[in-house]
Amino acid sequence: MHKQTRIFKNRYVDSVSLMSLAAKVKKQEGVVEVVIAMATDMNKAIVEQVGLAVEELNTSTVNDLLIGVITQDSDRTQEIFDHILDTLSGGGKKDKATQQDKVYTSLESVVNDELKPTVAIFSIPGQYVAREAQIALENDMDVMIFSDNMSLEEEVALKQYAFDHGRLVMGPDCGTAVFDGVGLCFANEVTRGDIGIVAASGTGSQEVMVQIDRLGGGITDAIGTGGRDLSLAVNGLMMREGIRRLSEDDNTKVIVCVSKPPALKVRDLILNQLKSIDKPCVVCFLGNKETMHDEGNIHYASSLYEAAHKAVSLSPSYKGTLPELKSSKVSSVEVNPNQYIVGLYCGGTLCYEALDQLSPLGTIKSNLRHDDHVTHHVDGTTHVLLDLGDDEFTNGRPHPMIEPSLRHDWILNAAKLETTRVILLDFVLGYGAHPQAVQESLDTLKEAFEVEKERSFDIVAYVCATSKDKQGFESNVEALESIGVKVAQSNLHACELVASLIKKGV
Amino acid sequence: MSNHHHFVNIGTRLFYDDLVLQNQKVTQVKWAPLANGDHKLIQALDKLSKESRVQEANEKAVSIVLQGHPYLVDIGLAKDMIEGMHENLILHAGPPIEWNRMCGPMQGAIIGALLYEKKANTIEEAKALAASGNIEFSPAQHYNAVGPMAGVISASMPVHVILNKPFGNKAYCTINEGLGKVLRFGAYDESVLTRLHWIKDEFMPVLKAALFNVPLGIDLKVLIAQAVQMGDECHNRNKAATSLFFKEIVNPLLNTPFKRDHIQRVISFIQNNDHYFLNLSMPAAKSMLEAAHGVEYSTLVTTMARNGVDFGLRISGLGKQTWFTAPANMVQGLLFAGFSDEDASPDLGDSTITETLGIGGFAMGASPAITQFVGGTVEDAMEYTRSMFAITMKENTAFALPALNFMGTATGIDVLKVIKHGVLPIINSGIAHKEAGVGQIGAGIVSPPMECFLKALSALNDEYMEENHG
Repeated sequence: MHKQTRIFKNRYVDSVSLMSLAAKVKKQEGVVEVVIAMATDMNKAIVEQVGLAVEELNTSTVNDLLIGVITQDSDRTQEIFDHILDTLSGGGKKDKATQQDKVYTSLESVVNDELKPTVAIFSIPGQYVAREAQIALENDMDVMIFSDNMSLEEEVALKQYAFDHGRLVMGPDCGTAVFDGVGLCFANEVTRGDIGIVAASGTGSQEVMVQIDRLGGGITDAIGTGGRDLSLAVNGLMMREGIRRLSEDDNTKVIVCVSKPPALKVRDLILNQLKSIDKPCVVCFLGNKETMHDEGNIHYASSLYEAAHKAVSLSPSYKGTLPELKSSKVSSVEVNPNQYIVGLYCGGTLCYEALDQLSPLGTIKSNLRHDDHVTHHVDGTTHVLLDLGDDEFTNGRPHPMIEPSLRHDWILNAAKLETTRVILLDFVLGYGAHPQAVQESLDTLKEAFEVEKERSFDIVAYVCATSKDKQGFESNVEALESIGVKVAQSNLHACELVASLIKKGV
Repeated sequence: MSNHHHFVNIGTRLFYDDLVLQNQKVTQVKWAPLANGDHKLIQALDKLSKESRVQEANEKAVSIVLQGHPYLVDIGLAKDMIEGMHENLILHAGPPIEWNRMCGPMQGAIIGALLYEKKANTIEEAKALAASGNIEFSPAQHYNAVGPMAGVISASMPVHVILNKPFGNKAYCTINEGLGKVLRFGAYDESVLTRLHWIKDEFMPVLKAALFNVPLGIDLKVLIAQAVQMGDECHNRNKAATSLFFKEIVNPLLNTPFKRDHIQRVISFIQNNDHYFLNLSMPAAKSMLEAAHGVEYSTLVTTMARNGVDFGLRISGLGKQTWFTAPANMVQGLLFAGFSDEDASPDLGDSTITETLGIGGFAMGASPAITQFVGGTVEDAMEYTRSMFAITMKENTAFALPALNFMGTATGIDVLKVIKHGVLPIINSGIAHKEAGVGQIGAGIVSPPMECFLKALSALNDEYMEENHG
């Protein structure tokens, strides 16, 4: 074994790039361990843990790049280092593909150049975002914050300022938005139309826009708010600003609101605002235990698919015939003992919807639960649904939508458990997602089918994408079906499928 | 919503790439945490940036720099020209440093200076004397003087005298000895001492008499302005400037009452040293910057200098002898054949006073030839020059660069902007051998450590923003 650690002063690279690179390098032959990260306290601890600590670390700062490599043979170390450095410097060549010839190192320098940007997108570490986002707001930009780890106080202050000035702060932890047909961060390429979406959840918004597209409708904008927006503290500031914008937008004829159940006070605020608008509104509070009845221009949906379906049916420009909306909830079924569902999701809201939909099947453990049934493991004793995009699983690696390999070991381990009857997966494609997310996982899925040929075992997958997405849609479905994966039409349909598969007597 | 968005992406390139894929106008920001992520310092930065007294002070300070107009007016011995200079005082480059911490070239130059001054007769005596505490060492900059590399000035060394006419302040610098075995790289053998004596005994009187023939002095600002239009950046390349200076001085030299062969040797000395003008561009820059030192509330950098161990900054709004230091970086560049990275001394010399003024590395776009010497491409050089506007207060139209469409140089480094934009000043510099007397072994690009700027920010905050001064 050969170890080497080097520190490069003042060479900041964003964590997504570094994590992706590390994941690739780690797959190379002869590489035992690799750390490519900025020298934050957390990363220093990781380096120490894997035995790559060096004295120079003590004086390193968050702006210093730290590369540690353990290889089997010493002669590989230099090669690996060269490869890493070469990749980081863009292959030794200047990137001619970029539009800009000037390098900007701060938002302020862009503002000073009078380029008048209209939207700022942040994916820098959360503790630094508030200051930068404030600069963006003061310079008449709307703001999208992909980063998480922003304090609640900072979020409230930013959003209050934005609200008072008619600006948007989407986030923190906002993964999806569409502005005038332009997908920001994680979004699908969907038909332009007359439905506007405001969503407090990323993949929830993606599922709604994808289903609208597939049903023959189209969208104007999809505004994200970040998951905390509908809490009492934030008071739905951006949900309200988003609704205001869509209500004033002439092209938007139907408004869809998606979120987990809001704080009651906030819910009333939102509903009252919607009632005052002369456009039909579809409201989907995922996981709401309370039955809500349609009232005036407000239509309730209990699943993302239903929200899309209702929105398209309300769209004045839609002239087609919609498929019948069967049930919007998976019905209760009696299930075989010791046969379990293992859901391994990338999309947090899709996982959350499945957890809600499949609740009639009995106990389902999940990392998204906040009660006794919370789990971070699959142990073969209950149904388990995991959101693998959660921090606790990514831990220094990119989100599984960016780097699908994160999910591979989970899939194989679940397949090896005798009690696993069905593995439930989502593939969220579109902008931001891995260019070959499905292909990357095919070998693993084949291997999973090979594990135990004797018993009944299925893999159900949902591909959240449209045929216009950069990864394509049909070809991915075909690829999955060709190896025996059952592909569902929506996340709701995927839930129905797995429920039918574990039904007693099947 | 409008259909004409201009996105700015601060963070991962992934999102930039997919916006480009959608044919959107998008600007990528290559962001890094400010101030090493220190939230207290970031707050101080934002407070100081918004402070009107700071803005006004910087306007004032940088306009002093821009209005500066240095002339070469005289040459004389350091002890006669520099106020406070005395027999037991040796000046050196960069921030303060004690004898036992000095780098090889600086110790060598001091040994040479003590031999030259006849304070010691042998190398051992010189070393013992230097270590004895009986010799006072001080940054040359405390005495309005500057020196390249080791920058050593002792009492009976001749110095150019530069007068910044609009403000009446003076600056000083020794006479450039040429390349090879020279004192500034720490050499002190017989040939070095012989040359130093020749400069004092034969060169100085002729130049002094010649300058007497030029009552207004020689306009250095004009020479620098012309030289940057001729491919010099007046730090590592002084070919054009030296030629222009030669053109100005040759007649006054011929009009001195010295013997023809004596004058001839003086003329040859200037003619054969392409770096002669470095020891004029440096004090010219020093005089312009020093006039702007001491403006309360100003965050202008008035000095960047290195002693081969530490890099130091001085700030207009803070004390005259207050330095903000951190270990000097290694210069990255091209080494002459036969030398390796292990041979190099860390960054050394006061010549970064040129970059502090906005020439040198800041004017590399004007000096395509220098890129062959320090490494990199002409495009890199242009980009260096452009990028310095992010961290400076004004454009100096007096130094206009033809290759950049007669754009002036970026002038007036602002501590706050350096930190705010995470962009460090670009310096192009010679690389000295770490051992005394070997000389120059290469040249390249280097930057000050960010730590210097963070320390300065912290001090500015303590001085002006802590509301405890009644």
